[in-house]
Amino acid sequence: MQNEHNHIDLLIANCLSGEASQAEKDELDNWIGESPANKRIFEESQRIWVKSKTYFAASDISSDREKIKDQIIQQLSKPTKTVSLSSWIYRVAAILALPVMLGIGWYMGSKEIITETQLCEVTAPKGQISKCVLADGTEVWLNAGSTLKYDAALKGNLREVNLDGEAYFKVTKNKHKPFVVNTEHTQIKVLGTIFNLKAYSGENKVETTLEEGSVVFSLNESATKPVELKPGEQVVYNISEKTITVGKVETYLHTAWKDGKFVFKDADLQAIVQELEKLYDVRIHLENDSLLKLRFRGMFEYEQNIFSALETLERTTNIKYRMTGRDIWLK
Amino acid sequence: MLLRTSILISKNVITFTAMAQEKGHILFDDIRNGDEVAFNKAFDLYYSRLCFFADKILHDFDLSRSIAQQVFVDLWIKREKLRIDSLQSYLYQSVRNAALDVLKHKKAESKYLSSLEKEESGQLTDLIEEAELADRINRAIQKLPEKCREIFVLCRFEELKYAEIAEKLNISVKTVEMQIGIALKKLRKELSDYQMIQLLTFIFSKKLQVRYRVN
Repeated sequence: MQNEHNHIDLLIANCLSGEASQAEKDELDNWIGESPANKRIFEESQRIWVKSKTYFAASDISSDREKIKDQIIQQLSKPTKTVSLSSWIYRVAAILALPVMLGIGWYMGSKEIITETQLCEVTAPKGQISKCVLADGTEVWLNAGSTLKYDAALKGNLREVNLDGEAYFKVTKNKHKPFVVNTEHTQIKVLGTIFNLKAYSGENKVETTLEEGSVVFSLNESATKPVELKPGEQVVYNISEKTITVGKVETYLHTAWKDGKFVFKDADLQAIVQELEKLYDVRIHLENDSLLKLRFRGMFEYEQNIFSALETLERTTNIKYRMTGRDIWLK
Repeated sequence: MLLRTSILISKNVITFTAMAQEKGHILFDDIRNGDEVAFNKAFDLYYSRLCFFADKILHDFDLSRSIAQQVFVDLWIKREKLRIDSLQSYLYQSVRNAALDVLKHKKAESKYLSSLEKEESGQLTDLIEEAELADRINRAIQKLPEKCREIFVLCRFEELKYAEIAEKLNISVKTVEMQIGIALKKLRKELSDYQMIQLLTFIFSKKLQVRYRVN
């Protein structure tokens, strides 16, 4: 019976593809005539055969998906826009200050109740990267010298955490309970997304880089309109100038640290020095201001020690280093 | 008799469409909120169907693909400005408009265009149904075991003879024959649900009717 069926399938296939001999055609005709059920099987096969005119391979479909994503990125990459917080905003801010302060007061009050539950603190000491997973499944990588504080149970209407330093967030989606990251000067609100936030106290800027999804960036003490970021965009808040700059970036340059790599492309020595100081817990002094004009591209791996980093610098430039304890001089 | 069947079928199609619309509505709300997972879901659900649909109008599959891609790009970029009740109708409408625009530029096909422009909504529904059918069959072919699919694709789409396929893949003609048989059987099984048979029968018989009338 099974065999007979396979045989019939073969006959049908041969007839449809035009490869059947006369004898096979006759045999199939006879079989079709035997019962309405047989006839139906043949007709169904025939319809499928006739209707399958174009094959759209899964691999082509996924390459189209990538094309769409590239197109979107291309169309969204507009020239960098700079928003300056002009003085009238301060006037507006002054008017708004009272309700905002009331808001903060209430917020502080409610925070104290939460404190009773369980406040967690995770720190990545200098020279080390830490990773932690929050109660909701959100993953957080902490870069060297960063601290993350949060309520262990993430109770309340918001999932709130506080950050000093740099962290890469892979936030679990929950649209009913937004995820909020507070830093000294800014607030980032997300639903479910992947982004990097760099806000070391003591540095003059706060950088938020979005890899996937969307985030809303706002300042703590200003009436400036919150900025919504698209994937591939970075918002930089300059603390002393009080300016917000939004632009397209290569996100990898800003997130590679979580994989233990420090990648830079057209970076100045100052930026590299800052990074090395955090990474290896050293103090680096530049003996010559002209060094600041140098531009670099390349990569350090966290596992390499400070000497290999310094030797790379020596090899590729005219820079010489000397080291005493944790102090390093470059010239 | 024929009339009764077609009423039955259109009911089915309507429930089917209504279900998809419901899904599309929830999806669009998420897309609007910038949810990329939802955007990917919409792509999985509609993209290939829309390509087949555009192809029914343009008879050029590569062109159809780029039109459908642009519609998805716009969906994401303009998501916040869009007012959409049904994601499905929005996508089909956008693809249709884009395809007709392309045709407008191809003056040579103006005859076909004018007949399409005057189309009754019934005919548009037909094209959508045909596209959905083509998509279902395509998805079923994608599910075939790899070797079986490769042989079926060579036979059906590259229109190679059994002997040519055998030589190309370095297998026996007998194996090719058997694999085509297996492919057909599996496709029949995969597409055997009630709605599908109805859709197949319906569209097929209508096509035949038209052909007979012309003759």
